[in-house]
Amino acid sequence: MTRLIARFLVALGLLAAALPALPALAQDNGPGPLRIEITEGVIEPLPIAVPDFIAEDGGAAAYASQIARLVAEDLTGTGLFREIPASAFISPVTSFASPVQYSDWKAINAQGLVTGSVSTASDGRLVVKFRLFDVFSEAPLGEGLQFVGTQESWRRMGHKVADVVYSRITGEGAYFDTRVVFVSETGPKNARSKRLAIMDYDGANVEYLTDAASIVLAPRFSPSGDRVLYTSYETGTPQVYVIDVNSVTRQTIATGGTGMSFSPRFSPNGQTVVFSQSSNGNTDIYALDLASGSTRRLTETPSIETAPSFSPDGNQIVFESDRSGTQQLYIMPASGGEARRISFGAGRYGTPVWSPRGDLIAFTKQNEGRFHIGVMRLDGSQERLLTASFLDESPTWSPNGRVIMFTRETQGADGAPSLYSVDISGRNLRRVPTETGASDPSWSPLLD
Amino acid sequence: MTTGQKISGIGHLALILILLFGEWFAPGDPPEPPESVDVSMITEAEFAALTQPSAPEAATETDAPAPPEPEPAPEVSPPPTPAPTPDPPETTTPAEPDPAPAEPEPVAPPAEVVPDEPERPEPPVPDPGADVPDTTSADPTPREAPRVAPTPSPETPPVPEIAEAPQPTVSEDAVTDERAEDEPAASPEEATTEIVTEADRPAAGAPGSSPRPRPRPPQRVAEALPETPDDPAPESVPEPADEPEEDPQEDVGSAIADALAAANPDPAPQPAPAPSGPPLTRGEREGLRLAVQTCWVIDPGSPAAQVVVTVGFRMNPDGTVASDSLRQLSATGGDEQAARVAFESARRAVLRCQGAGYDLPQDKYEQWKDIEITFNPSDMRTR
Amino acid sequence: MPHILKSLALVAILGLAACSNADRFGDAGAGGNTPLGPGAGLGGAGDPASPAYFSQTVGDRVLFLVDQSTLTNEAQSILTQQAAWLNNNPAYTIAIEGHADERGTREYNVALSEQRANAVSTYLVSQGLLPSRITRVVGFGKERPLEICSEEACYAQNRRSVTVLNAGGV
Repeated sequence: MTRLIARFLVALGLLAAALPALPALAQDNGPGPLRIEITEGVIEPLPIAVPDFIAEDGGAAAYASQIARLVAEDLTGTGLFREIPASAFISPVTSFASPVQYSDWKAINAQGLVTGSVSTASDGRLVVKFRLFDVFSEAPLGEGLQFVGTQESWRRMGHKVADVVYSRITGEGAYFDTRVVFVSETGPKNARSKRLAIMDYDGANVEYLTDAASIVLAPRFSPSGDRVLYTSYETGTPQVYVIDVNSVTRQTIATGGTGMSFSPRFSPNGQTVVFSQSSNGNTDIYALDLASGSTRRLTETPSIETAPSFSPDGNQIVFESDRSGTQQLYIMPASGGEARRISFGAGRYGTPVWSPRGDLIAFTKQNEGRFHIGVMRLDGSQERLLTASFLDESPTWSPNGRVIMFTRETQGADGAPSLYSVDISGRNLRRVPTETGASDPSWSPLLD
Repeated sequence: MTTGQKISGIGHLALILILLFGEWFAPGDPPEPPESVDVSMITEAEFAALTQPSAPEAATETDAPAPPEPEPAPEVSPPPTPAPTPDPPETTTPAEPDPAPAEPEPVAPPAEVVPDEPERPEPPVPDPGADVPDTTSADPTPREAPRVAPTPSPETPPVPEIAEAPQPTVSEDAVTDERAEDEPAASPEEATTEIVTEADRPAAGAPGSSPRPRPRPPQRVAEALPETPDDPAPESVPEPADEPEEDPQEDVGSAIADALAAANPDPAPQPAPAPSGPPLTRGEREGLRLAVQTCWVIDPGSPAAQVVVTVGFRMNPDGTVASDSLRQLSATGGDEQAARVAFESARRAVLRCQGAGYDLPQDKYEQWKDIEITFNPSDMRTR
Repeated sequence: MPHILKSLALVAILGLAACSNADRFGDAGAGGNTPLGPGAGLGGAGDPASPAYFSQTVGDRVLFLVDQSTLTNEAQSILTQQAAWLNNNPAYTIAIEGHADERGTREYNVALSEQRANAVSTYLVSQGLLPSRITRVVGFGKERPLEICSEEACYAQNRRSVTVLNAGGV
């Protein structure tokens, strides 16, 4: 115990003394180590090599290369990695078991190396094994792993491999084996058909959850990823529904009241749904306890209160309100009560979404004719705008809090929405491929 | 307190820290997690549970267009696929400040960019065709580039986009050892000095997507390879599990020696008051600093970018790093995981950029025989 | 003479508006309502008791300023006439549908357009319309624009509230 305290004190002392002193030391260097402080680095993708996986049998041949490509795509798609093309490889990987020639990978500056194999089990399922190597340390990074799954689920296995690689290298959680629920849009701007759809995070495996008969808006995943809340106009008045993603069965959420109900979101424990209800020109936020069915009003102002989003601990709710005269962001206790405004910049702020890490709020900002996706701290400080276009809105966080997906709608009579993603540093803006127009994405948690 | 006292105080504290924290950090030290090459098993039941959801979904929804492999293509393709939609409408609508037709761009760059960015010496060939895909080149504000470096590189001329360009990065190693003074990264890779988000650009149209990292020009590799006298990684011997070879053992041996050395009151010239050779000049120090920072890759969005990490290592007289001596001396500002990632990034910086050895004056070896580098990303975070 | 020209122009414009209304509006999103297109009215716009007269001559819609749900003077005068017409034609019930332009976030616009529809509802009731004749007050946000260009001229037309005569009323 005392030792621990001593260590702590020493650490503190060192910090206090060393930080200011380091630059001075750097100037006049006595005997002892040469000390240098580096404050400028390079932001660039980490070079990795993902040679095609080894097919251990004929049945696996079709997947060995595809899975490796998918792993590479997942990784390079983050903007944090750059894949070294196979044409640069010095020594091909011919067997999953044979030792890695680190020098050959160093020579091409591969900092990470992923090797793997695919085989077919007796029941026809695929077995995917892989290892990750830290080339400059000349050592594996973590243990090798394997996944077993049906041939149809090969993409999921690839995503899982990429998830592990990403986590081991970056030290963060990953987000490749995830899904996104969104609104698929077709038809002309003044008569859009909207359907709820779900897909892999990278746009693959699209499935539709509703038909095009009614307008649907703003779906949101449950914390466990198996249900989706959304708003539909099927009765003529917007109402809140929940749909089971696996069985595709749907039910109305009894929100009480006679007006419009919309903008529903789950609490982090999945037991409460907060939503907006409008009647007589006044929109407020309510909370519905799913178990008891009881509803509670959280805001009571004559203005518009909508787009609620829970903090990850479930204790607070960030939402938008025009009580000040324009749309701004506010945070209140999850039980309602006094709200404090957090947005103060120029323009209008809407669609706040609390990051899974808990430290940032993503939002839509409308200013001087442009729309932005941005992030700010919980007190509204350090606002950073990540995008700018004619119309960006509806941000959703990747489960690791690293990436934001959002809707971007193009201008004009032929304008159409599509999904984009951007790293929270503001880099790596990319379009998420979808076959139809797409809006209002909601990112699932990491599947397991 | 005199400077000398300060130095000595800090030196001692540092030492104590090493003693105390050495073991703390040891587990985090990548000097190799036990190299289990075993593939761990997931039970079938577990995996069935994993995959269950997707199978029924796929089955029940027949209208799901799920093309198995065509999908990847749009994602991976390195050249930015500019969203096709925006441009035509934008040009036709003067109401919004948004419009940024792609076409005018090539015309603009030379005139617009040069005044704003003195660091770009050669206005890139106004090659209109090749410029178009680069949605950012015309911006009067800092350019957007896949790479953000302390010293901007001259903009890569839009070289033929050869995705297959054989590995560029070798050149980096070869190049760095030559670089002693304030010279910017010799690598011609496109770089900018700060992160430029879309929002930083004046009301211009949003690009369809951001540029992907582009390969460095192929010819560099050709040049660089012969120039590299010996590979930084000397041995050609294989890998861990199967064959115990000389190296690992040596490593262990020297690691132990090193640990012992570290545990003893200063292994180095402390007692010897007479430094051999005069102190390094400012230029020499700067050269080393610049050489290392060129290889220090930071991910500003990562928790590791909150960590200030100090690493220490011993140098061989030829300017190469005694790589087994590389250790973490301190890390502040993040959790254990973030600290680990920060340390690995620092270690890679030191190892990767040494090439055939850092360019340090032989006659002052005693001065740089032990080096401690603090990697402080706080300036990078705000970029 | 100029008056005649003006009138002709007005009729032409209203006629066009009616067409676009029928084509673009009151589709599936409006639920059970079957809006009345041209031709549905007995006797057309000339018949003061016809739905066409209501939509074209009285005017079935009012427009709003950016991010506003308060009624302009012009809107109030149109609504006064709407109320008078409805009071004279008691067989009809109505739905009031609010809309917003595309320059706002989706859910906010839903709420804003409900506010607009509600402002209309409140005004009509203040003019003597029985609340029971208003079967629905709903906001469509930016989901059903009337005009599709991305210019203020279109936005102005889309920031609207439309008083829809329910078919059952005939």
